[in-house]
Amino acid sequence: MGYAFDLDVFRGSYRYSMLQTFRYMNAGFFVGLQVLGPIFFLLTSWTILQIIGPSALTTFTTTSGYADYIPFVILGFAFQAVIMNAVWSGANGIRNEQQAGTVEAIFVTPSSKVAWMLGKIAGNITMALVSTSIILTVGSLVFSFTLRTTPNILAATIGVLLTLAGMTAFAFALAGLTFLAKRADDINQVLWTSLVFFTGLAFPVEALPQWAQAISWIFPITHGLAITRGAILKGYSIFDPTLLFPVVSILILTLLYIPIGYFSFRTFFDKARKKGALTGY
Amino acid sequence: MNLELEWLTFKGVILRHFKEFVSYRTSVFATIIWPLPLLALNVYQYLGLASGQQVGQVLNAKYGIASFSGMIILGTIVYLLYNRMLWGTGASLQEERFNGTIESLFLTPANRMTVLLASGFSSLLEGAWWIVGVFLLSWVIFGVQPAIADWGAVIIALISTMIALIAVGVFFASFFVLTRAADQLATSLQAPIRYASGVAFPVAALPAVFQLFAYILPVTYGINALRSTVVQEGTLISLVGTLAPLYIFTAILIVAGHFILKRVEAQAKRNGSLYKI
Repeated sequence: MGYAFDLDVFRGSYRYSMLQTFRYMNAGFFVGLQVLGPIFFLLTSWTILQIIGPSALTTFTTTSGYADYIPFVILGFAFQAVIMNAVWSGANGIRNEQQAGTVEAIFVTPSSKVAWMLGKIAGNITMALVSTSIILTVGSLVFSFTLRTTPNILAATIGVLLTLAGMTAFAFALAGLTFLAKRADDINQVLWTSLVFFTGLAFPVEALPQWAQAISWIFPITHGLAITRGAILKGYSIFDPTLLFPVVSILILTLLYIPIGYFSFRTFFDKARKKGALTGY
Repeated sequence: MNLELEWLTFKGVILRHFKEFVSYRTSVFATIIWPLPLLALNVYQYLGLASGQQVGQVLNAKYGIASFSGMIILGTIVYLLYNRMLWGTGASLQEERFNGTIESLFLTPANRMTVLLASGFSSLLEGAWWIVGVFLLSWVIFGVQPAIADWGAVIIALISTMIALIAVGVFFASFFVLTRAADQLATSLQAPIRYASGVAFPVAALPAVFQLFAYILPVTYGINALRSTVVQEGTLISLVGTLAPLYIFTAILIVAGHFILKRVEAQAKRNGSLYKI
């Protein structure tokens, strides 16, 4: 099978993924997880800021180096959709096919499973970007903050794209794991909460204990968020020395995770086939 | 009503749920692990902005809350249990529908409310670890010392909260199956209820519009009752004002759940659409 066929598979899977999101059956998930979830997390952070009062800003600025908390946290929760995409898209794609009893049918076709999975993930990434825009718009309107500097949109976009590439590898690995572990929802629930905690969506990573900070550096999203925040809130370019560490880290992690994600997917998939566990749910 | 038959139904549903639960090692693992990141996230949303001592002082001065970590821990426990109800019991009938077994269930002479109550009870059993585990973690990690004046009040607050949460599950189970969008509604309700019920802060800290919403949520009263008795030396008498609305909502939810379920059944008989997803 050639690349043209793979592209067809990718396109078909992408269209299916997009249609599923907007169908009656699934639109609520998008609203609940990718819109209401981040908005209410944002409100939680805002309420906590009101509770603690002005002294909170001093502590925050000292820890993070940023002047305002609200834009910091809006950008953080705008990334929540990216996390959701990473932990849900691949795993849920497999899980839904398992529940619908169609996973075997898909996996006996001669189509490239990687192209099929990439189509699903790309559909989710598209929705993640829509959600990110909604959170940024709602956050800016409701909390009416003003940026202190001209944002560097190019650097911010690169930050988002690198994060998506890095987290896609996670999606692959988790999708493979779903073949064996089955209960994607349970894994996702723990992972999602852990990622929100470790990657500094709601508070600076520097506020975490040393051991937790070390864990946070293994996630591409931590670095992607640092790049995007630096670019938007401080106007840094991608070549700014301040962004050197996150840029290099995310590039290394992405290059490392893509093959790991791919081989994990293949290994779990092969294991499930050998055990005859592909359809079981 | 034949109590022996009701008991058999109750026992059967609990056994089935338990077997389903332990069949998936990932479910058991996730149940054990989940409180850790959730608790850490709730705590660090404060610690990213101020030291634990500062937060404690502010909460005490503004809202009379003596223990910052105690406040978070109790809110998290009730939220975890509520969440289990929402997904365990609330989505149970929808799950039967997805599995293609809802028609068979509705054809049996088993009392529907007994099935739902048993489902709620088994969800609580699955989540029981959270009560013990989170307290142990809080003691080990945060050094939380409970300030209990009346153990009877603690037990009553805990049991009342559990009864109210079962009522929430029963109501949602009926409501969700009527709307055919259980998973989506459960997902959409998670974040607003987490915010408005005061899981991470006292309800008094919320903007006025959300405070109104908070007071129609049984979860709010459950959290208040436990906070009052476990970390604020509340007694049974001081608890009356919190428990009264909690039981009123429990009664309303059970009655509403019962009637909605009857409507679902009548509708299913009339147009044969129960199995449709």
